[in-house]
Amino acid sequence: MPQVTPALPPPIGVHAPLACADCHGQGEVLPRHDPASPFNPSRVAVTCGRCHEPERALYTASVHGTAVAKGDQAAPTCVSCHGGHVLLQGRTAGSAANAGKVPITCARCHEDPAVLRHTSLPYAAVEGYEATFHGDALAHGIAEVATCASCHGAHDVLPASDPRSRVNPANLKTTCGSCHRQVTAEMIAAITHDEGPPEKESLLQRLKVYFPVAGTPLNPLLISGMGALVGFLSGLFGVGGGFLMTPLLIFIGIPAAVAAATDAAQITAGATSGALSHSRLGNVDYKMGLVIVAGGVSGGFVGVQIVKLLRNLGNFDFFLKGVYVLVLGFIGTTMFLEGLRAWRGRGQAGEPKKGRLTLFFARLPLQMYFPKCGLRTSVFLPVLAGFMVGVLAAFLGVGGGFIMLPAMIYIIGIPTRVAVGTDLFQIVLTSANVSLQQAIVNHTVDILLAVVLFAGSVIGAQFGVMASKHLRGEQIRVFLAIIVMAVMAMLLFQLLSTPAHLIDFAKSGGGH
Amino acid sequence: MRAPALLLAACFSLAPFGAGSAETSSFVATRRVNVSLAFSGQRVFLYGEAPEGTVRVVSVIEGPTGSPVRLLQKGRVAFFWLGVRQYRLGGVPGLYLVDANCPLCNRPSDCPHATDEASWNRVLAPLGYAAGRSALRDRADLECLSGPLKNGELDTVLNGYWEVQAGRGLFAVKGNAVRLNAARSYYHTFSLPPQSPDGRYLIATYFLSGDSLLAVEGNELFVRKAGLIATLSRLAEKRAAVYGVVTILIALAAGWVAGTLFRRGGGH
Repeated sequence: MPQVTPALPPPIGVHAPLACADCHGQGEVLPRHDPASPFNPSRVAVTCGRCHEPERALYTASVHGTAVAKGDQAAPTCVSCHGGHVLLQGRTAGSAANAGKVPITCARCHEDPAVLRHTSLPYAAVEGYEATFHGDALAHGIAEVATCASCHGAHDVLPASDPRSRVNPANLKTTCGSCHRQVTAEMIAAITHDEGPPEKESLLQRLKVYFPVAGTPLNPLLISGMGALVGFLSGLFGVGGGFLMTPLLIFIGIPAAVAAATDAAQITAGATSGALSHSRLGNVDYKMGLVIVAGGVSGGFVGVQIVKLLRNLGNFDFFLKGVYVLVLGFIGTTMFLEGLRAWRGRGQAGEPKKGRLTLFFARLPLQMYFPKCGLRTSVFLPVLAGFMVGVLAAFLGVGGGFIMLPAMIYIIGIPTRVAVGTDLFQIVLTSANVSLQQAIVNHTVDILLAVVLFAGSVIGAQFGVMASKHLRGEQIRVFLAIIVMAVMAMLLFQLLSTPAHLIDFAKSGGGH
Repeated sequence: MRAPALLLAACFSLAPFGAGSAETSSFVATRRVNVSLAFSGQRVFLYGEAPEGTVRVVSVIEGPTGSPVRLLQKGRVAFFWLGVRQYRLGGVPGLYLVDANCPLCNRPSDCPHATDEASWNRVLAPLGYAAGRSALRDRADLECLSGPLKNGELDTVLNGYWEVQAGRGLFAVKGNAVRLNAARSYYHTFSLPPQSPDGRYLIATYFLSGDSLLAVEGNELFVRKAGLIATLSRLAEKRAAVYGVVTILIALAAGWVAGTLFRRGGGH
């Protein structure tokens, strides 16, 4: 069936006297992608060569002609440089082959990122040319100066490695000598305009993946490494690691809202991995975990309402960091001192002494026995602890594991190892819920980023669990206290140091 | 104040302005920028022909205008830096880059001259155009969330916002980035950073003689997500519940697989 071609203007310039059939042929006009079309890339040179045979012969042997023959769709044909229906004489100002236009004509491909990505062409050949004496002179109207074609050839462009190429090192003296009377070794050594990619990067630096919701490309190995580190801490200390991972993700360029939401998904994976292993070691009290989650969910709901209220009042960021510093400072210092006393044998070795609060709740109604914890207490205690941590977790925008673990140990009175395992179990449930809410309400979960983080965190968590077997309860508490205090110090520093920008995006902290 | 779409329409309808402008042209080498898995920003090459008598070429690329952003002004209270004022800023594009040539030396690589934004805006402003920070000022819609706007506060906030966006490569004015040669050809490259928002981008190129606007040319390009990136983005927006459930299932599966593998491997 004959194809209908769109209406085109009649030829302008040197080809104006020609009839359509002279180029397009008689009868059926075929589309360009049809191999039989006279303007299919593979046949353009043949079509033009009917009148321009010497140029066709040179072109066919050139690097451009060879690439076209090999089926490279990006390689230029006659019309790529000279134009199709508008084809002016080389000396005419508007012609693409005019001396002043040659760098632009070449730049259409040699500066096109799509072409550069798929070839080994230098990145800034035309840009580099502009910086040379030749480029500068041409820009100021000296048309006699050398352009791309003067050195590389026009129809007969060959790669510099080809001994026949004018820019082959062996031929440079002759090529330069066609304009310069005296060609010195210094002149030849100074010829360089293929500056390569603007930034030389190693393979590792170049390895980047674009994350769709975060809207930024990042090195997946870096992200997996961060996941492994935080996963290790998660497995070791029984915390989700959100208080570490979220700031790290923001630091490497992930928007704060996406960092917090995606981290929740990452925590789910890392905590699942850690909780399974702790479960096998007999460290998870599922009954206790579910009771705490019940309190945590209701606390989280109340916390979100408080966050909304504070956000509308303004200055939430300061309030958030201030509370962080106070809470982390108190927990970190208390845990560190207690753990250290126990470690040195001056206090009660192994587990901390039961506090007055624990003993008080042991006398309240609705008593429940938690076998793995070896604890009989009122159900109000874990529910209340869960509620308080839920409020704080929503307020601080993290899972709350680093608050929950000390609460389990010091307030509820759970042995450290069981507290670690049970905390991981409740983190799986709460972080999965947060992740789902964030995906539905805010659309800020980046699944690709989460998967890359999982890859590191689930393995890191396993190593963390292994390491935890070699540490005593008080040692775990001391190390966790050090990390908590380090985060507190970092936040305090942020509150006291001059910010990089006095006007900045308002943070979307809190929320779960 | 002109909406970007109207500006593009104006570019097509008002050009050519004067004599010699029949030869004016403007082309963008890449009309579609696909944001794929390997996307890490893109250089967009623009070239064309300036009308006779052109001394200065000013090219502006504008990204789509997104929803208003919430900004915070920090101030020192006692020993602490805390947010003292909150704002909602709308009407500004997601990306705003201006490239111009230096009429004094025309040497993009080592131009020693400072960018004089005011000089081209003196010509453009009477015609209702602007390029640079002042263009954003005209269309910015600023609301203070902690009280009424004070005198000069718009400039303070816009300058601060500009610095933040400039740090991400999204806002810039370069006074020596366009090459205009003696044959009246011009060319330059806009570098779109990886954080460029997806949508329709408008490019307006102004050709100025010493004291008049000779022509305006308009182009457009589309930055759009492609392949897996497009699929995931669409899923996150349109099927949020499914997306969330899939994310959790993958997370649980990943944790379970790691736990199982380590047990089989005899980890503990």
